Amino acid sequence: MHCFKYFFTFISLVLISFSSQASERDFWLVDEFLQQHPEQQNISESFSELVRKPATPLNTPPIKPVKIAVVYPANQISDYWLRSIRSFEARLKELDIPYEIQSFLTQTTSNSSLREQAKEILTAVNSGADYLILTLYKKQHQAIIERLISNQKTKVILQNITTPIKAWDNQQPFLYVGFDHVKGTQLLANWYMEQGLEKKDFGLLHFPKGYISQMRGDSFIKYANQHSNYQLVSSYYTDSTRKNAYNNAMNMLDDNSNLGFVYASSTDIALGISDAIAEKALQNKVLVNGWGGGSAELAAIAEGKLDVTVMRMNDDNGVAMAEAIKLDLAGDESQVPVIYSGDYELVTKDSSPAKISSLKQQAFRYSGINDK
Amino acid sequence: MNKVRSLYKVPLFVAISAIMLILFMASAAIQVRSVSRIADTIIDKEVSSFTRQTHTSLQLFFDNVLQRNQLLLQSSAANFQLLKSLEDNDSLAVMQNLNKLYNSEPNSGMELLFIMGPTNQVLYDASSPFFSDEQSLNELSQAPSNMYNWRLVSMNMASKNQVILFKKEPLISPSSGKILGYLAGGIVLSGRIAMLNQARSYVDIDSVALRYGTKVLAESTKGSLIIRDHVNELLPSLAQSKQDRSHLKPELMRYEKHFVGRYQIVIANLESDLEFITLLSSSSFDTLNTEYKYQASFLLIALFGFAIIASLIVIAIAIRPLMRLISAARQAIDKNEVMQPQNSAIKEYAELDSTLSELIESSSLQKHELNHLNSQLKQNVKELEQSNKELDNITYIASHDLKSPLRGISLLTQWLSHELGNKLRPEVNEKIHLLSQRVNSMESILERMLSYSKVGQKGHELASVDSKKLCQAIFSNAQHDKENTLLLNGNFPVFTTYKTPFEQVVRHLIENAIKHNSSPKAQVSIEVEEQDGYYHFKISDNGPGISTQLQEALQEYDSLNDAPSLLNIGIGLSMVKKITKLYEGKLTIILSNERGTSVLFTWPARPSALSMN
Repeated sequence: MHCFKYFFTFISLVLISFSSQASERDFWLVDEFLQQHPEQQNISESFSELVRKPATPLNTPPIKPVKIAVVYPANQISDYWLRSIRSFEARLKELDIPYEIQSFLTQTTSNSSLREQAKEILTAVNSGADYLILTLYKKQHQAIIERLISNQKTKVILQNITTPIKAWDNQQPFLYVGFDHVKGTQLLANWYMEQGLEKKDFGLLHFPKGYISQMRGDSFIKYANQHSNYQLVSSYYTDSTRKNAYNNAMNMLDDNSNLGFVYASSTDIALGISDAIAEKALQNKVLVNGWGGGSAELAAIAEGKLDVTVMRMNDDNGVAMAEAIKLDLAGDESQVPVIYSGDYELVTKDSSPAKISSLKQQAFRYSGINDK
Repeated sequence: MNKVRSLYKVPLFVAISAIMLILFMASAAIQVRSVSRIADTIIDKEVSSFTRQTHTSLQLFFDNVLQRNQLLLQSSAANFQLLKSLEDNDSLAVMQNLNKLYNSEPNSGMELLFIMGPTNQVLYDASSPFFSDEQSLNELSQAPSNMYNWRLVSMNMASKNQVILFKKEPLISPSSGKILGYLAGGIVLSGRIAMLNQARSYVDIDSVALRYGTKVLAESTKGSLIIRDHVNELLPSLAQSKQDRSHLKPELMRYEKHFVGRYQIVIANLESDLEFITLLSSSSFDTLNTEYKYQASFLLIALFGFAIIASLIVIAIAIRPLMRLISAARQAIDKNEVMQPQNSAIKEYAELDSTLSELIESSSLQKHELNHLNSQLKQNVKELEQSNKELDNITYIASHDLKSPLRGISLLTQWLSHELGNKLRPEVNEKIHLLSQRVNSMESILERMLSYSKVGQKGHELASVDSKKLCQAIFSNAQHDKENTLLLNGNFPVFTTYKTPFEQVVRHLIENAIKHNSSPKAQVSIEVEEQDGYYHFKISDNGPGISTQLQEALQEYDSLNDAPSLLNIGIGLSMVKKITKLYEGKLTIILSNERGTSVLFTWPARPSALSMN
């Protein structure tokens, strides 16, 4: 009985090891993960309800403050990160959880290399942090996070990622929190499909090659191929700066005269593309989207620089992290879902200011509408 | 007694069912035992086979990891751009190329990648930032290693003790062929969850951990039992185990509801201090055991069912026809009819059926004949009784009625003798005297006949009899004109019996002994003893004895209904014999000659022994 099993195991081991490059993804999409773990469905729904409701303070707050280390990129224009940390702290206070937050800004001019990031993370972990909030951009991060999970002393909250890594199997981080990139991508794709651009081509500017580029860029191409006749004629990987995106968009517009829209994978990229379109005076002829619905994007939409964006209910992200910590402190870790994915709302240049204002009220209820 | 015994009679179908049940239990016991032994053997083999194959698979998995990284290291060391930039001493280009190689897909898991100079100093480093610690890398680069095999190093890195597999490849100048340095690669094994998950998935096991000494480097589990919490208590480290055994074989042992296995990893044909620890729920083997138990249970149920069905078949084939036969036979016997044929399909039962039919028919005929004969016999007995009664009546009537004319003859003879006594010649007187004697004799015979015919007709009364006093009284009342003596021997009983017949017998025998004794000193001796419920009375005398003729006649007279020869034998002795026989006794002449006679008669000691028909 076992002979066949082990022979099969050996063969599959060899085959998989040499064909790992051919495997599609090394992470589960949200829907795939929930299919694999149906018990998570209810936990996730209950948790989402908890996030939507007003805070209920912890019955017996810990005597010592909870040590939280937050590592977030500081060179991005998107205010997602700042709003997230603000809403997180605000909710922690409402929950009556004493805390000490140690923030580590990465990708600043003085702290640009991955090595520096690693050092920051190591310092945070070695300082005895109870929770570490960070994100995952590159494979090197994956190795670092893997060690943190293995270490088990510090609980890892992966921010801005909702797709569990397959290789970690059932030893996943404490919480994946963010907005499902695929879901937002599909909302944008559907909007483009509704614009009647069948005879037009489209271009795409990627986030730097990695997880976000796969989730936002590759999934858009796949979805558009499956559900429309749009032809991708040009795509570039950017370094996610406005300048770089502008340069790439200029080249794209020069080379392709039949572009109906350019898909942008982030706020910075969107604004760079918008700059290029404005320079070429192609507003309303070549459409462009934002990604995330942050303050910068909403302002750009109001000014007519962007045509559409998917707006994240931003502050839910920080609230979810605070609620997860509360459940953990209360001994209800099993009630913390592996993934918390927030909702998106589609905002177009045709959306009324009142609607945008209402959405902003909801999305930024802790971090403030006008703050940044 | 018969009723008590019938309680222990077992119905046939119960007996057959019991036998079938016993056979079933025996076969079930054999079955369970054999299945249990087979299951144990198979499970042992499965465990052994599983251990061996798990070891092979884990070793293959590990070899594969090393092989992939070695290929990557070798291909990177032969990268032309890297070698050229190194040869040109273009530091920026070297770093770019090295980073490019490090980030190349697939990521093999080799987190350390750096270039060492010919004297083993670290020149360029593209390692994972988490482990990129200059001091540690320099320390690692100084560790002795060869270019052909991986080496296991335990050292501090990233503020923790790490276990690293380390290997270096020479960087040879494509133009000059000189060694420019070494490309060093390292796989940090500590905390490699993904690798362990992959290993667990490949060997399809509940949990797997990688241990170095007593330290669990990483583990992967799908169950709730965490290996690192238990394994060190359960398994000594390889170093400790080696002290006991020269070569460590893979082993699997039970721990609570799990099997814990340890598999030493061979690196470059050398046994290392690295080992895989596996945890397997025993449920898979228990399931196997359960499957066998289910099979055994199924077989038991099947056997039980078979036993029940077999019993029913036996009952249907063998017992029911038999019961029908018995029922039909009983009905035929009860109703005295011919037995109805049962038409059994079984040959033996058909034969039994016909035999029983014949037997019952024959028995019925015999019964019929017997009834007929019995009724005939009853009729005959009735007729005989009537005849005997009539005979007794005739005897009585004859003896009674003859007495009257005979008395007339006697009176006439006396009158003739008185009237003519003196006128007759002496010869005539003598004749008249003889006539008178004959008439008296005739009268005596008739008297006896009358008494004889009355035997058994008188009422019988039970009374207590003192046999000694009775004998003495009869002897005393008898005529004694001589010096007669009575001798009594033995324990004369005082007992309850039918007094009148008993007295008649004793009286006749004593009076006979005295009356017929011509001796001047008649001697009567009576002895008594008890044997087998009867008193044996022996009455002897010293008289002249009984004539041979009379003895023979008495012997011939053996039936109550046979009339004695009245003229030839004494009616007294015959009557005594008749009475003793009538009361289930017996009379025997033991001795009789010229010196005397001994007569023995037996009499039942208890009246209950009498049958008064």
